[in-house]
Amino acid sequence: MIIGKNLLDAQDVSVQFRIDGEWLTAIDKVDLSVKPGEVLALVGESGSGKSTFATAVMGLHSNTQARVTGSIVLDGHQIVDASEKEMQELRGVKAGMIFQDPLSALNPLMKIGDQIIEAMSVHDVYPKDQWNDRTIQLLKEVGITKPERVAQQFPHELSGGMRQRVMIAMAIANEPDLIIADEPTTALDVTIQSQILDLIKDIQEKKNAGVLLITHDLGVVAEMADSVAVMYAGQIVENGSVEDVFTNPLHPYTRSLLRANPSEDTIGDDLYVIPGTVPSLAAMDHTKDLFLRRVPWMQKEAEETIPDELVEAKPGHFVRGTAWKTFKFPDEKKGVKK
Amino acid sequence: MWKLILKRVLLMIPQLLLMTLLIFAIAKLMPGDPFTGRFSPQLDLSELARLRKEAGLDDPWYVQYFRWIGNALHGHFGDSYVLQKPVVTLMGERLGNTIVLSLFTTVFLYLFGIPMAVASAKNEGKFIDRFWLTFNSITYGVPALVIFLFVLFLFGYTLQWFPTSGSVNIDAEGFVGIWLSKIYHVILPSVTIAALSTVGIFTYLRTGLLDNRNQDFVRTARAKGVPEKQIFWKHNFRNSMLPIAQNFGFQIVAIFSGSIFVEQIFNYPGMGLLYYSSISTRDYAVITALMLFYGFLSLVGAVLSDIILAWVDPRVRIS
Amino acid sequence: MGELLRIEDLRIHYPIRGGFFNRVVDKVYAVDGVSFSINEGETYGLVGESGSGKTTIGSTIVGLEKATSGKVIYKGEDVTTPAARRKLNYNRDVQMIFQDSMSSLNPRKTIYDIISEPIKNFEKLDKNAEEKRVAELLDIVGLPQRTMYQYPFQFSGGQRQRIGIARAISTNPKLIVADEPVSALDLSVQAQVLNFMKQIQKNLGISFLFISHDLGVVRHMTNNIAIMHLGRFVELGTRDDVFKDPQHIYTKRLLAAIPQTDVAHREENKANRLRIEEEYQNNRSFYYGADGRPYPFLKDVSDTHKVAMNADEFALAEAQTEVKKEESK
Repeated sequence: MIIGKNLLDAQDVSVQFRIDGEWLTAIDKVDLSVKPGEVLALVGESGSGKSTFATAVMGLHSNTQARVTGSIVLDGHQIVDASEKEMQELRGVKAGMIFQDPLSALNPLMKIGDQIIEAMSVHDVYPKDQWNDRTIQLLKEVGITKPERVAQQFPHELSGGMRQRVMIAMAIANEPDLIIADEPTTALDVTIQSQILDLIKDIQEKKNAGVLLITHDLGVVAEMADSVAVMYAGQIVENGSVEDVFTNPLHPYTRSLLRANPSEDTIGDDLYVIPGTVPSLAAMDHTKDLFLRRVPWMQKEAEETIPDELVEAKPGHFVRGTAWKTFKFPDEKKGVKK
Repeated sequence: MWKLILKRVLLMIPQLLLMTLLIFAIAKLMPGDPFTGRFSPQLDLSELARLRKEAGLDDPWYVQYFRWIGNALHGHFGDSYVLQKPVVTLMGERLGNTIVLSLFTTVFLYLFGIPMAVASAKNEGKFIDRFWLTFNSITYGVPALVIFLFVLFLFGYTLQWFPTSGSVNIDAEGFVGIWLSKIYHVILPSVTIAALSTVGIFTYLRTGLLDNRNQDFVRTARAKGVPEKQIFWKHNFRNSMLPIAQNFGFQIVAIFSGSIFVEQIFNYPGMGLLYYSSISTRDYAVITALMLFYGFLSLVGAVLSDIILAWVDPRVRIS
Repeated sequence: MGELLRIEDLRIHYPIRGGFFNRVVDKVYAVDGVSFSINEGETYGLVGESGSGKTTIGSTIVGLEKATSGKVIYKGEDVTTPAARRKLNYNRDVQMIFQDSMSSLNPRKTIYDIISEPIKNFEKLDKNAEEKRVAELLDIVGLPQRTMYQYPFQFSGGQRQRIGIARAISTNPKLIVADEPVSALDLSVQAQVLNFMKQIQKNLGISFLFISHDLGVVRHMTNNIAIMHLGRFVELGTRDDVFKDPQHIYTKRLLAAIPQTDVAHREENKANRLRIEEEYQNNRSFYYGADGRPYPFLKDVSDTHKVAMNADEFALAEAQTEVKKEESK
């Protein structure tokens, strides 16, 4: 059940990077919100800016190389102009983060237990005398059967799935209300992937936490999310409940992605190929619907300037631009609907 | 861990064997023998042959080799014919001096190199960073001899702050007095060598610190809310020290070998000076004994490096 | 469709050295007794998780890895030795494409050098004919002629993968071993490469051994599939055999673990997944031997469908072979 005010409220967020002395826009005017108990999936291909957004929420962009503007409110705290000291107090307490590759994300020279304790020791959520017990309890909570033993081990002694469980234990050590999971299962085997996803979901439900799930995998989105935001070239192109977006995708990009995904229905057919590539940062003109350049039959529309705001096509289902109204795949035009 | 150390030490045995064979071969290939120096117009050649036979120089090479090894194991390395003393006695006198010099050099080396790299990495691109970068490229590029002579001239002869030769004052008395005098003698050479040799430690550590800044585990620590200072020392610095720690054994060997050259300049009575003079006087017994010593030292250095790495890196220790 | 390549009881074991004197203390059974065959013009899917041995099989087929025992039979002869491979022009007929297109292409060579290398090795063409052939190959993989003298880093991931394919097809091979060819690619680019592989198969009649961990992609691409776990086949059959009628617990686990884009049924999918996981936890010893590996013998489910035996069947089969041995004495 999704109730209450937003845990995370991002309004008009832009991120610019300084590249060769020039400020280039990687994320353009993104609005997103996560409520307590909600899983929001931010989905897109590489270069879409989804990880850049997560990094901005954690306040982890270098302030000399990146410029974040707009408003990111995390549990009542404005992050965009927060000092480094304020951010340190928020990180891990208001939002915990899980990364893609658990081997490189854990310090190879520190014992597992010490790394989890460190997460608690830098905040005053739990008093010192509880750290050891809580570490064991956290490891149990993420499904590790011999927590005392694992706490004494080093990251390289564990399997990939176990390492990701440790990462999760570390991220929830201070009971954050928001969990940010950046491609948490991309580096794992399929059977382990589903276990880790189920674990994240279980923890989220038990604690009524919000989850910002960043992924490129449409299947993971469909299995995990309550709502979805689809990102392309630094902008949200579609945003709505997971049912709406998967059963009635609107934006040409969402529809193309779903068609490019191999599934039971594609056997014996060619997959839909999205021609071209994501434009480079310097070539992104965010006043236009950038994806339309990759729709060969909509080149005229690709040149039109469109408003920044997304349109509410259906209650709670938002889409960028106007192309969705007329977009049809070539075979649909002929009336051979699949 | 103990198993690893034992295994590594046992691995030294074949290495040692190979090394002694090599040194033996070199000694045999060198022109002349211990009696060459006794040549004189008055010498009876048959007398020389008798001496040679007595010394066992006519035996097959392997008999000589094993005799040599056997003697070495008992601490007999023969006599220096130049100084007319057992080699062991000669080495014993000087080994202590060289150890003191090398130890001080090592301490100063890390005392200079590590803070230099930390200051540089923390201020990347700023004046301090550029200063130490320039300093290290100068000390690396300029011939050490020039600087040694300059230092000796300035602090030794002109300002007379430090002694210019010897390892201890003859009039020093008492345990404390002798040691203070010894330390006083090694400060100038050890500080100079250390200051000139930081380039390796500096470059490794500085690069490591800069690279590790962007490592995933550093990002994880930041996402946990760990303060920057703690991130730097606990995560970044510790991981960046791995190659430095691993190199420690080799560094010591390098310093010991470097002493051959340095002791010469500072006229410091250590192993290096002995080595140098024994070569110029073709004092074979001393040369082979010293080759054996330096060879053994490098093997120990390599073992030391491996053990240190296993000690600091759990990935090596537990596999 | 005739048979192109047959693998018979292939084993690849690596020694584990340990103890004081680095003696062989154990072996890794990377591949332990697998048999299958690839038909002309088909795509054969080899599926497994990391460490299953699927890549090792691919490397052994192209001759990059040495078989411990077993045979790879091509044109009626065993090609596990370099001499046999040379005699049959095997290295020209069987090519490989890799997962990481960046590291498998030499960064200092131009596209022309990369594509023409196998041509130079296997065919004696004069400079003009060679250039024409490279141009033709670029055309087949849909890259413009002007890219001929560019370097790998100037291309996108999908384009690089197509360059890898152009190099692989330059010798008119009969079989291409494709090891995770699309795992590193974005969805839109992945579709491009998959379609393209299908297209050259249709036009040139090439067979593929498609090695992947991604069951969704494998289902889209292949006719016959083998599922591998810990060095052994647990199940093999046609696409429908494996996907519609999985027999082995591991196949069921894999299938249940694929994230589906089917939002409406996700609760049922999850319940199903948890049910299978539970069965696996409770009945592991029924499907896996005491050494933790699947049982080595396969039984027939149908003409096309085989599955690794369970504990009961394996015990029975063992007993029967004992009896046979006794009888033959």
